[in-house]
Formats: sequence, structure tokens, C-alpha cells
Amino acid sequence: MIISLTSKSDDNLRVTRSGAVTLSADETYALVKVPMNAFILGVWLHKTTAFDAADEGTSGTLTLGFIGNGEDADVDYFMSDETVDSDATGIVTHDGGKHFSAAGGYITITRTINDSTVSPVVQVFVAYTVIS
Amino acid sequence: MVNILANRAADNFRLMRSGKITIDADDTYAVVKVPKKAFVVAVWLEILTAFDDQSTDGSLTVGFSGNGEDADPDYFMADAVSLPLVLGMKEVTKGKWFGDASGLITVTADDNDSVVNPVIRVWVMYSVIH
Repeated sequence: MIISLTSKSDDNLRVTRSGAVTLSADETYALVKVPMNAFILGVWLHKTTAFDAADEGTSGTLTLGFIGNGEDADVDYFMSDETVDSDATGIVTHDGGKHFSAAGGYITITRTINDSTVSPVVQVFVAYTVIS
Repeated sequence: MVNILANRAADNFRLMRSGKITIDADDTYAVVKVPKKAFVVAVWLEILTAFDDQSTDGSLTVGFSGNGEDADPDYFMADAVSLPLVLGMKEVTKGKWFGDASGLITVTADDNDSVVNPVIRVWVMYSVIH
């Protein structure tokens, strides 16, 4: 066995939540700001109002991602449209795994080409630890 | 209803991260030490440099040794989850309680034909609970 043990650890924890956000346009919404060196432990998307049936089977999507960290934005890093299941209310989760080691950033939700007659309402919860 | 409610709880929390580790041999690498009574909540494997596509038979797994048990090199992550040819973060939420003794989180490389030495980093989240 090769021993390559780490001494890097931290015990801080923060859970942030967005407000209840109405997604009224096809746009990317920055919902939660995360600091540099934040490691995302989990992301929860609570859909209190879903897209209506008019969106079913169309090309409309709702995805959860990030911008920042000196990288190109990745609008579906945490949740693809399939995971979000935008036609249903309720909570969907992702188990994180993103280190903002180079710069701070934002957790984003992106709506595209949606034919729904209802503007969905969502709330995002993000858990992270700052570890350098 | 039978009431057998738990009164064991803990509110401590620790996130460990390994350094960047170059996998330059088929071996088991001990990357994170966890104390006795640690309940591992989640493990992430970050592949910073992937195996190249010649390593089709190779595997990269995440497991543990310790706790008075036989080592289990793919307890947390089998090759199908770690996807050693693919860059990026791989995650598992499989729990493990080190109730009997402390232990090590390990990464094991096997049968690797890659001409590139992959570079990985491991993140481990746990709570110590008695």
C-alpha cells in the first residue's frame, strides 16, 4: 500500500437558500452566491409550482448549474433537465461535488424554450464547506 | 407502535481533501485517514488527469481498510462509477461506520495499460458519532 495521507480538512458548514423565485422568462438566474474555496456538498431544488402540461414533450428545459471559478459557465453541471423533472412539483437533489478553488461563483438555474403557460416557482438550497 | 427511539446524535462534521495524487503504479493508495467512530457520509473522486483510452482493462476503485475488517477496495466506488477514462467529479453517498477502529479511505488501481499516469483527488465527508 502506498501511503499518501492528507492533513487538509475543515469543519465549517453552511446551508444557503434562495428565495422563492418565479421563472418568468427563458433566462439564466443566479440564485446563490458561493465564496472562493467553497466545496459544494449538496444542492436541492424545491419546485413549488411546476411547468404545466403544455411544456410536456416540447424542447423546453430547466437545468441547475454554476458560473464562476474562472471557468466557462456550466448550466447543467448539477442537474440536467431529466433530473429536474420540471413538470412535477417536489424536491430533487444532487450530491454536489464542485470546488470553487480559483474564484467564487453562483449556483444558477436556466430555463430555455419553455411553452408552459405557467411560470414555475422554485427555491434552491445549497450546502457547502469552505476548504482551501 | 413500538418506541425504540435513538438518543445517539452528533453535530460535528468534517470534510477532508487529499492532495493531488499521481497514480503511477498498480497499487492501493491510502489517501484519507478517518478516526474510530467516524460515519462516512459521502465520498467524491475527482479525476484531474484521466487514464488514456489504451487502459480499457484497467480499473480505479475507492474503498477502505481498517475497522478491524478485511480491506474492501471498491466499497465506495466501483470502476463503473469511477469511470477512470473520464475527467471530472464522481460521487457516492454510501455510508460506512468505523465503529470498531479507525481506518483509511483508499484508491486502488489495477491492470492499468494507460501510458498516462492519472492524477486524482479524493474528498471525504464524515461525522464522528458514538
